[in-house]
Amino acid sequence: MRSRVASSLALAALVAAPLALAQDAPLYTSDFPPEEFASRRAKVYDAIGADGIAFLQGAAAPEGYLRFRQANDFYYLCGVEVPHAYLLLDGASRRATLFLPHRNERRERSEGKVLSADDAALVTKLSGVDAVSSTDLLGETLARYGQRGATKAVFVPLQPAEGLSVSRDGALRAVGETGSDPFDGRPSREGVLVRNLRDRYPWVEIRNLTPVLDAARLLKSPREIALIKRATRLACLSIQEAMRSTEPGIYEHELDGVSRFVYYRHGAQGEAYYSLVASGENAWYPHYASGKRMMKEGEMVLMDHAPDVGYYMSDITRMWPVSGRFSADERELYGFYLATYRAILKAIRPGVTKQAVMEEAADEMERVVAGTRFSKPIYEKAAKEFVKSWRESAKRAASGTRSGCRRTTWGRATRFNPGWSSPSSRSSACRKRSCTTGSRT
Amino acid sequence: MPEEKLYYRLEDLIVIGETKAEIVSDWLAMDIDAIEKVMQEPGILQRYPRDPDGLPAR
Repeated sequence: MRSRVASSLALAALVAAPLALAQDAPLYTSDFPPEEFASRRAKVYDAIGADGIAFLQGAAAPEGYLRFRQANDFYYLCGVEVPHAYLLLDGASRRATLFLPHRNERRERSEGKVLSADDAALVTKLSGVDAVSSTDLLGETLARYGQRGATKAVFVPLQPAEGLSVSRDGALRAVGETGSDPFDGRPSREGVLVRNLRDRYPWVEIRNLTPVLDAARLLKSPREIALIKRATRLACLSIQEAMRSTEPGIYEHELDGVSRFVYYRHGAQGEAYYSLVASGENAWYPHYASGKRMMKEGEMVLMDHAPDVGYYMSDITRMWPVSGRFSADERELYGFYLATYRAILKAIRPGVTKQAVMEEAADEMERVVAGTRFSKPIYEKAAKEFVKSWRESAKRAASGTRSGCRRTTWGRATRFNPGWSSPSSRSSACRKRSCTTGSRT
Repeated sequence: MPEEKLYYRLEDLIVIGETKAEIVSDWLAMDIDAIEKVMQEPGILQRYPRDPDGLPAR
């Protein structure tokens, strides 16, 4: 009874004021101006050339009660956050056309306004794309490129899209796992897209846009750095709050709750990855994430967590004693590890190769070992082995290799990981690059 | 250290600029004394204690 009254009242309101926007919520990001998105697209035009087009598929609508989050590459090029959108970049005319679904009025009545193909003028004004069309016209638009004959190649990102708490690695792993399931075996969304293109337009060569985008995303603009810094600040605040909150008898998931409280109250759209809160022996597993264990007096706890702030992330890890005081053994071991870690931090600067960083750090680490009196032979053995394997990894480290590779693990000792929003470089001098560094023993 | 199943990891975020590297997360306690000092302060969990009926029996 109540719902029928409610719906008829709502209907009356709709009829009375069809143009009134009931909600007060931004329809487009304010993190980047249209010019910044346009300058990113310009790099794509340069890369694909006058006889190429680039074609990107945006993220699908989520299942269930999850907020929509755009795929990273799609957001990077146009900032539009509408499900089931497509972006076409024409290398010859250097124009970007956004394809959106038509307005779903019934859905809007329930959830509020969503930009659609029927908002073309508004969308071009907000985002700076050159044209807006509807997704039902995608097929014939693409076919026309074939008719003209000038277009030789369609550049599509072939690597799977990144999403909420989904890094490139995570997406790739999922493709493998789904493929291995004998009663599933679905192809990836990218695979389906490519198959559709090949079936409909067999004359067109399909090429991989992913390396182009990876190279573009590698160097961060000032606004991107500002977002990464905000994400880092929240990660640090949350870990600091977790430190304060720790005492024997609490569960790992309680620190997860603390961390997520800090992120969400500050407007983060999610987590870069699930929190890794590993107490006692659970820390032995680098990606232990169950969170169910109660932490005890005398143990250490490791916490690794960071938010997703407007599609930009961080990656911070700290360790601390559950009781609030380091034992003598922990002072020795953690203290040694910290000294080696600081050696790495000190060696990182612009204009040096990864190999040079590792070797300079190895020199310092060897000095630390030489100057340390270990209380147990087993500690000394572990310390020396760590430094030895680090030194070996340094020798093997490639320098000046291709940019645009993703989170790289070299040796088994260190990762250079420029947040989760973007690929890392194994290479040489990097400018205006954001990276995280970690090392393990 | 596999024998005692001890494992250590730290991670920080560094922005490489034109002339210097900035460790953005440097202010988060990493040294032993700094960590112990932070841990003396009460946290959110102490201000909002666990609910006795909220957790499952384990």
